[in-house]
Amino acid sequence: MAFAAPLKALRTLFSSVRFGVTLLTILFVYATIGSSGIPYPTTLNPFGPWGFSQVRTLPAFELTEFEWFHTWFFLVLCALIAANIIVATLTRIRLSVVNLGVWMIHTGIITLIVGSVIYFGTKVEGDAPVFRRAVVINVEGAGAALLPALPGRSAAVETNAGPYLCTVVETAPELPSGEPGYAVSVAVQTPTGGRFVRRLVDGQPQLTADALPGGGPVPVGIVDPGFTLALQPLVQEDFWIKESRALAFRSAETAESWNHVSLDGLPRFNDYYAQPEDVWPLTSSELDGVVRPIDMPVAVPEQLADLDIRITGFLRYAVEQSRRVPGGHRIDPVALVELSGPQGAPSRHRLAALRPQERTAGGALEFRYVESMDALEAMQLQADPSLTLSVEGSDPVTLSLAEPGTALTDVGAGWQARVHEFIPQLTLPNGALSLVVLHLRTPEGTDITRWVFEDASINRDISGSPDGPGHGAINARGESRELDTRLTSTFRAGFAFPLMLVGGPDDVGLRLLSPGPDGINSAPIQVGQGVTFTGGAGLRVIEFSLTAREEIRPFIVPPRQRDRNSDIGGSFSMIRVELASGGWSATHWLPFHRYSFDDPRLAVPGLGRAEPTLLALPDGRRVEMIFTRERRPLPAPVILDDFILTSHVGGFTGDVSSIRDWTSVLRFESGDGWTMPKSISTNAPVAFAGLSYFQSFWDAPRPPSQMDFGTPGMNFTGLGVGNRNGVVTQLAGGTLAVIGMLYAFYVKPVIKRRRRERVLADIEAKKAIGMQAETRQEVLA
Amino acid sequence: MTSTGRIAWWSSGVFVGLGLTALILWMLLGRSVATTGFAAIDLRPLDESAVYHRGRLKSFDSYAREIVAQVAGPKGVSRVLDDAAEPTRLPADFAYLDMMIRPELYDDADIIYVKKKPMRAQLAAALERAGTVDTETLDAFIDTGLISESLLRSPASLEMLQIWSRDVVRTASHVNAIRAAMHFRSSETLATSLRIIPPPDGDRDTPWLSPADLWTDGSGALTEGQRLAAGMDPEMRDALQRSWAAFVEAWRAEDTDRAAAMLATFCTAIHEAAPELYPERSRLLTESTYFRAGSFTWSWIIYLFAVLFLLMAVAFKWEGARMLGLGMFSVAFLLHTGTIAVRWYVSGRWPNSNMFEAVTTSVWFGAVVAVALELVARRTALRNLFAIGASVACMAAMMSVQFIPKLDPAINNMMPILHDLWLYIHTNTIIASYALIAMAAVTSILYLLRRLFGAPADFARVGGTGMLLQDGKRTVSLGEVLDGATLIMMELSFVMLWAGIIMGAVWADHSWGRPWGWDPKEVFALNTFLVFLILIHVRLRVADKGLWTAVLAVAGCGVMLFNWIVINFVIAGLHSYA
Repeated sequence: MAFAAPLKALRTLFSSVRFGVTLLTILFVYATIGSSGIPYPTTLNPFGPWGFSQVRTLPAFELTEFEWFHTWFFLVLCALIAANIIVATLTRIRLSVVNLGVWMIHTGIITLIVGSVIYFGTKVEGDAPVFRRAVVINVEGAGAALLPALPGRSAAVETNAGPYLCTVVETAPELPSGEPGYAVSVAVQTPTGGRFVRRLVDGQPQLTADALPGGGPVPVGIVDPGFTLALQPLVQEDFWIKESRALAFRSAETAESWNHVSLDGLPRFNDYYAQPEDVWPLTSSELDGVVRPIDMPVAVPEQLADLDIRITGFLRYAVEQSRRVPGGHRIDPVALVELSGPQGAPSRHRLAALRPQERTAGGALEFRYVESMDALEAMQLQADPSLTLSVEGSDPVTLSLAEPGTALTDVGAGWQARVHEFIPQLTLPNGALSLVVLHLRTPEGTDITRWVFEDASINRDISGSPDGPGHGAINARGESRELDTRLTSTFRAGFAFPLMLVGGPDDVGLRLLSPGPDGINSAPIQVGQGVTFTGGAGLRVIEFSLTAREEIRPFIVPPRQRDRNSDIGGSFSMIRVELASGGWSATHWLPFHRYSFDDPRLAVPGLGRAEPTLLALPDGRRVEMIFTRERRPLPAPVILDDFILTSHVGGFTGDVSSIRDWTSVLRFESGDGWTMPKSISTNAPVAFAGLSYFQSFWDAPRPPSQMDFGTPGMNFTGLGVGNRNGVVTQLAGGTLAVIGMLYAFYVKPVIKRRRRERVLADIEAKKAIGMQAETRQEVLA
Repeated sequence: MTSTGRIAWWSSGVFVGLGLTALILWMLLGRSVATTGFAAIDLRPLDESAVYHRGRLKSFDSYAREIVAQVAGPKGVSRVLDDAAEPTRLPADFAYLDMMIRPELYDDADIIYVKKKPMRAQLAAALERAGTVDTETLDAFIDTGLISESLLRSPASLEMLQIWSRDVVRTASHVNAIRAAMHFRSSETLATSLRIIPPPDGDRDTPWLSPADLWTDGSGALTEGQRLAAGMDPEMRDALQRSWAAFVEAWRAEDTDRAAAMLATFCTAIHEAAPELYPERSRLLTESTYFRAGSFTWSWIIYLFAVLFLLMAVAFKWEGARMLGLGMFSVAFLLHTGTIAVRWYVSGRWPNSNMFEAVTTSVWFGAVVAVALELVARRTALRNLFAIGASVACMAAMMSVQFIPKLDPAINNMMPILHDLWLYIHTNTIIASYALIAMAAVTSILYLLRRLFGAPADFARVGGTGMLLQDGKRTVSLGEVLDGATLIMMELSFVMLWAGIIMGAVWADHSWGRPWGWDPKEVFALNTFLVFLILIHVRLRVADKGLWTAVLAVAGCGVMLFNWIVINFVIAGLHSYA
């Protein structure tokens, strides 16, 4: 037979223990590389710090852990191991009592592999937030609207007289009495301008109560008897697939359900863009800065069949940033400068003179703009900060900022003033500002605290003396009053940094100012010109423009500034989408949306964003587009009946360590309506209609912030959703292997010992009766 | 040796072990903390008092240790007492109360801990440039990591903190720790977080109150604690107010007797405020003692002596050394068991839910298996080796929990996901297998050392279990014995590791919704198993079975340790709590 030799060779190979050991070694190396990466010393000293190269995240792979363990290589490796086990067992290990253990182990492993093929081959895994309640707004004769019971969310119902505006102002996971219950307070503005707050208690309509916003009963006539609010469960019909990515479209006019297109093969770990100008210039040496284009065609949905859609960029962790670049017509001086020290690489800084947060560089340079030659001259004269007060009819008075004044001094026309505090370069969220806190006394004898800034337009007067409680501090909560314009205050912050780059007025150009022992050195500086200072430091102006325009591009966040959890979840990833049709084309960077909610009001903090990109197509259609995850329908819609937080002793304090468990009470839609309540909690899932549901995440309390209403939480639950095909087979295989190991290690030696003892006893017996016995070695062999 | 001689030697071992134990306890309980002057005030009433902290009622001593460690790190709080020239380390309970009542004494004391050495150097350089502090202070800071709050609030320090906070990956978490230390050290924080008074309504879900809640500032707006305190029986509130105020006053005046008396009065009153809610005093006292004794982690010294004697017994076949070694091993094991039992009693759960507990309990399982195997193998040539393996593993584990601050001994609530029967089944099986892997590595290393010095290529011809079944009459070489012992422990760990992985899959299936997710911890448990799988199959084919077995057993131990250390602390995963 022509095939006999190769078959024999194959059989020899697959029955080889050496081959098996080789396969297991390859599996070990493969699993190690995929899971932990390759550790390596970062210096020549092997006892110094070590780094890890996560191979699967390199541009050549771009694989998650799950994907790494499902590559063709891994699958072939597993198949070879399975074949090796089967062939070696059948050809080398006789099925006997002694070998029962190893047969069970090998059969168990094969069973486990079969179970895993079923499990991973059919695996569906995702998650779904289920919201607790929605407020149904009903106005008799006008219509109805649904409002998610989430603080800050609003809805309106139009009537002939005007709209009813409803806003959820508060949700409460327990009643004021401390009893379990769920209450929602809705602020209502009637068409006639009346305002009241209606409090609804879930399941207890008799407890519905109205009150004025500040408390107190609602006067008769404000509440229209035809206006009703009620709570009802918010049905969740979909779940979102774990680690998937998709592009979703819908009509902006109708805002119907999103149409998802899967983006298989999209990168995850590296940045891809076609040209450097696609993103803001990289500022971190930790970024590779390699222009790495991609061009991934997208399967176009039916409603956009005339479009060619391609993904031409991916950023792992980026935010859209608006910056000023030269151009436009508005006076907004911008400059790009390069600072270099005696050692180290030069650093580039983009500066905007009119933005406090963007006008300093490296703690060495400040960029300013002057509107007039007088202002420029004044700047060139004085390095120290100064404050000048002017009252009509009197000469200007300059106050010393060297140390706070102890007593009020006359500044003319009956006004008195005292410098209470000078705060140079006060750090604020959007930059640093110098500030003088001034104590003024008007001719009428009224005490005023004035905050004086260089930009006089933001000066502020506060009633009372700065010695009063809190007035001296920048976060003072004193009562503001209208700025008293009878006394003008001019504050020059002077030189807070060693160098000052001054632009203007008009087209005068740039000057570089630096305070020296003989006064202020001032010299014009041209674009492209470099200046070197004593000690080796240098400055070069690369770009300058008196006018600027806004431009939005993604800014790749340096790795050291990335939030680890957001990075792992890809929450700040972005894709660049190019759309074309005929001669028309458009390009957009889209941020990642964890959920593609049809109702954007559901995208509360913790559940991602709702920032669809509006697309105006050449045929006039308006389409919304988001970068999100794949969404699939649940086999049975689900509602959240109740959410229960169980705490340790002392109750829930806001600290996670005080939580004992979370329980979601769910109902599923079946053919006969909604099922009886089913509770799931940690380690206690429920299965329904082919999927298992797990307690995965929850709506934690959030304090109010500038961006958010704040909430006591528990307005939704997060369910893990998945199927479990093949799990029983897997576990049966694993268990069989355990039994086999116990047999092979602990039963087999006993059997062999007994056999040996029996044989030796036989030999002794034969010797005793004088029979010719085989030698001991022959018997044992 | 006669049986009488054996008993005499064994008894000597036990007595020497007990002597060492007593010495170590004496060293621990009388260690160099301030015990004179006002710092020696009697705070024993607090040892039996409960403080609410992060969802758990702890003894005050246990609570104070955690807070003080958050402020001052492992070195604790030190301050110059009276006219002493050098700062004295203060007991945690005293330091807590003193920082709360007399914060001004600590403004310039070096009590804020900066963990990262490169950050210390950078901060010291910035302070040196600013010229605000002398070189000696900066050198001490670089050495100890402790710095005063006044220096941390200097402009140069604030600028450094600002710069570090921008580096989310490398330094921001350390800046948060420094800021948290400054926050926790403040008198107000210490006072408001001392929730030592049970809720007057006796409801287990109502927050506990701090002494600060007993007073209002008159502004009209009440905190939740003040509102609850307002509802307290006026007589009780009055008694608490009076005793606490008098205690604080006496403390400020350093009136030792009066402060102690008022503290005792206050503690008696809080015990009576809601007796039905109050934890057992014996439990609180045990918790205080447990931590004061340093979790008995110094018992590694006795294990060390046991190893030395048992090695002598193996090398020179000296029966006296065997008895001494086993005696000390027995004492160390009993002490270890006592530590585990006390922690179990104090925490109310079997100790295996954080790294500290997993490490100490893992090697305890190893020691239990060693005791069983030593009994089974007492008449075979394998004897002593299991005790040596367990002693080395226990010693290494206990040294690590003593010297690695990351292995925090604090007792806190378990994460909700850990409240499951499978925690006890899966985790204990896995950590027991880890201990056996470490023990097998010990005998493997001994085997390799022998081979390194020219010993022949012996191996256990009848397998590990086969050797256990032998009657000990046949003469076997030390190489054969070491290989046999390695096989016995490797086979046990092999079965337990596989069974543990399968049990973990069962738990993961009903907890996370999938039995296997290729999480790094899962993958490296599988990798550890793969090494032993390779070992078993390599042993079938190679001639030098002993060498390959030893090399792969050590490699398996390396992969196991990588899984436990690097994967846990460096690579994020679902098992980050284990």
